[in-house]
Amino acid sequence: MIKKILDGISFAEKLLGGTAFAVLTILMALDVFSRELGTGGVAWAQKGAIILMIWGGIIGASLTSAKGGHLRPEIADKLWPESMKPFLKVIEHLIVTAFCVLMFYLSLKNVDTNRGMGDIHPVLDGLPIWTIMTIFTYVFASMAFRHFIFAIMPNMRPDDYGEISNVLDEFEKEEVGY
Amino acid sequence: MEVFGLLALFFVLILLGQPLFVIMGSVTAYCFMFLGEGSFAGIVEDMYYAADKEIPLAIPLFILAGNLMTYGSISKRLIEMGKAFTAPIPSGLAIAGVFACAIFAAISGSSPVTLIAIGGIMYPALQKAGYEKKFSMGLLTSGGTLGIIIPPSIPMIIYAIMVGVSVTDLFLAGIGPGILLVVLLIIYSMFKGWKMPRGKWDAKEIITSLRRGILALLMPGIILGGIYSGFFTATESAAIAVVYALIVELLIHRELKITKIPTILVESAEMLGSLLLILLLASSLNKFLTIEQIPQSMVEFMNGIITSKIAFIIGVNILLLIVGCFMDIMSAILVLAPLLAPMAQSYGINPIHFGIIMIVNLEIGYITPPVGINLFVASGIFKEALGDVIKSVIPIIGIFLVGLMLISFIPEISMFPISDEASMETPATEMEEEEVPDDGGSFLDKY
Repeated sequence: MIKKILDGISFAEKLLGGTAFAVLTILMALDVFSRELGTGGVAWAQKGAIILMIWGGIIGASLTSAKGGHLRPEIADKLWPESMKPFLKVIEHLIVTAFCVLMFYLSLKNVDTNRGMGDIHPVLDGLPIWTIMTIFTYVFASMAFRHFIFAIMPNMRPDDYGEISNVLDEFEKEEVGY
Repeated sequence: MEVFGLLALFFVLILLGQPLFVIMGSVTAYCFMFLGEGSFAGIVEDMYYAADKEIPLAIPLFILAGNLMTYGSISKRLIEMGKAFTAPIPSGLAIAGVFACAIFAAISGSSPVTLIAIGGIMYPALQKAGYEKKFSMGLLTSGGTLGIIIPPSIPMIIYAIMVGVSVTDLFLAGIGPGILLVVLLIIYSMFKGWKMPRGKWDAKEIITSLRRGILALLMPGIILGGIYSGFFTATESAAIAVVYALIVELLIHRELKITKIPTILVESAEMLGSLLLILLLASSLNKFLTIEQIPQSMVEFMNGIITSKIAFIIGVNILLLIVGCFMDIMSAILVLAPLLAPMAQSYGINPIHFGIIMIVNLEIGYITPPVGINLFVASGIFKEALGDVIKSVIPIIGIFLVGLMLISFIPEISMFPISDEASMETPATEMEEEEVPDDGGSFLDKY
């Protein structure tokens, strides 16, 4: 059940993040090419692309959590005895959960304040800024949920996927090609 | 007492293996709460306004272009081209490896990916041709690091965001040092492989390899050419790079299937995600430092201790080399660039030139223990002991240090493509209009 929920969240986030990335690329390319071809460019394209970058990038942070791929200093890993590592993993995910809950609360408050002030995007006429900021609220909630599950259910945890293991894994997959 | 608490928080989070975004966010919240205005409620708003600018937009586009471009067999094409051109030169095959590493790393933007793509092919080839094992391993492990100094480079964009200088100028300033380091590696290769058997130039092979590899080779050229000629900005060049990569891989090389594009988009979003969150939290910390005038205080303190520019350059190089041994390049730039760049400027070092010095220092960190990522990746793909890989890169670290000294003390190596006006201006006036940061942006505009 929990796995299905996590997979469902990941699927929706991949769809949203990938689409944001695709549309921002199209907007930027459209702007540059239309300007170079003499039609003056698309006035709102760059601002639209920035909003999509914020959405796509922040959703990407949640997807990185799902994969266990956030950058982290690994220097202290070898200082702990092996027997303590399972316990430390629980602590690690609980601290991330607490941090994300705090950030969720701050972003919710921020959205609320902005909504009350009625701030409008200066270029994309009529678009309230709080609608763009909502992504922070969602992503911190999603990350808090994920890391809490990882803390209490070790079998749901992704492998600890640092950059090194990530690239080496890719190499193993492609080694046949070499 | 509060400062002690900050240090304790930082080290405890590192000891507990926390992700960098948690460390950065917690430190920022602590600073605002106990060393600043007494509330950290504005962090999320700072994050939003730090993202709502044009420069960060170049990051996702260059990530996507790199992912698209390196999907097919560009590594093989570049190696074929290098081999065809360097056949009669002493140590030609090794030089082909250096050349392929430099171009591939510039395109992919990733040092370990370059090591895998080029090293995976070149290591057995060099061994088979009779090159010394230690030399081959060291050369390929180090070659991938060249990508962060040869534009387009994401660490350069991060530095530009944190310090508030022009990405375009930083890209242009990377050309000279990139060429210098490649030349130094070529000289080292020739020295080590002088007696290796040489081939002959084969016109047919040259033409075939050129036909197969020229489009990959052209990508950095198009980006830099467009920027240098003023045809487009750094961010626009990133969009051009994506379109170019799509056309080349989908329509010309035909190695990328359209059905693979969604996967590449999602992978790119993940890569951006791990970076953007840290970057935005670091921008909030940056704002705190600006409000509290910490860089100015540090500048005054440093000026009291170190009075000579030469002593500062030597000191900062030693500091960055040590930092590079323990921190990854992105974290080091995010944390140190806003603090060190104003100091460098107070000693008369242009922040663009300082950015290049910083990046070359941290580039060396890719191949220095204990956290040099290329060492671990090389040990994995070459199936050699980590100790042997570390020994193999020692001569190259020496060569890079020579390059670093030249780059540090001869600013012209970096600054020659930048106009005199731009190199003399302060960063605030130097910045392109769209790159001027807001209140939470950089120190240098206030410094």
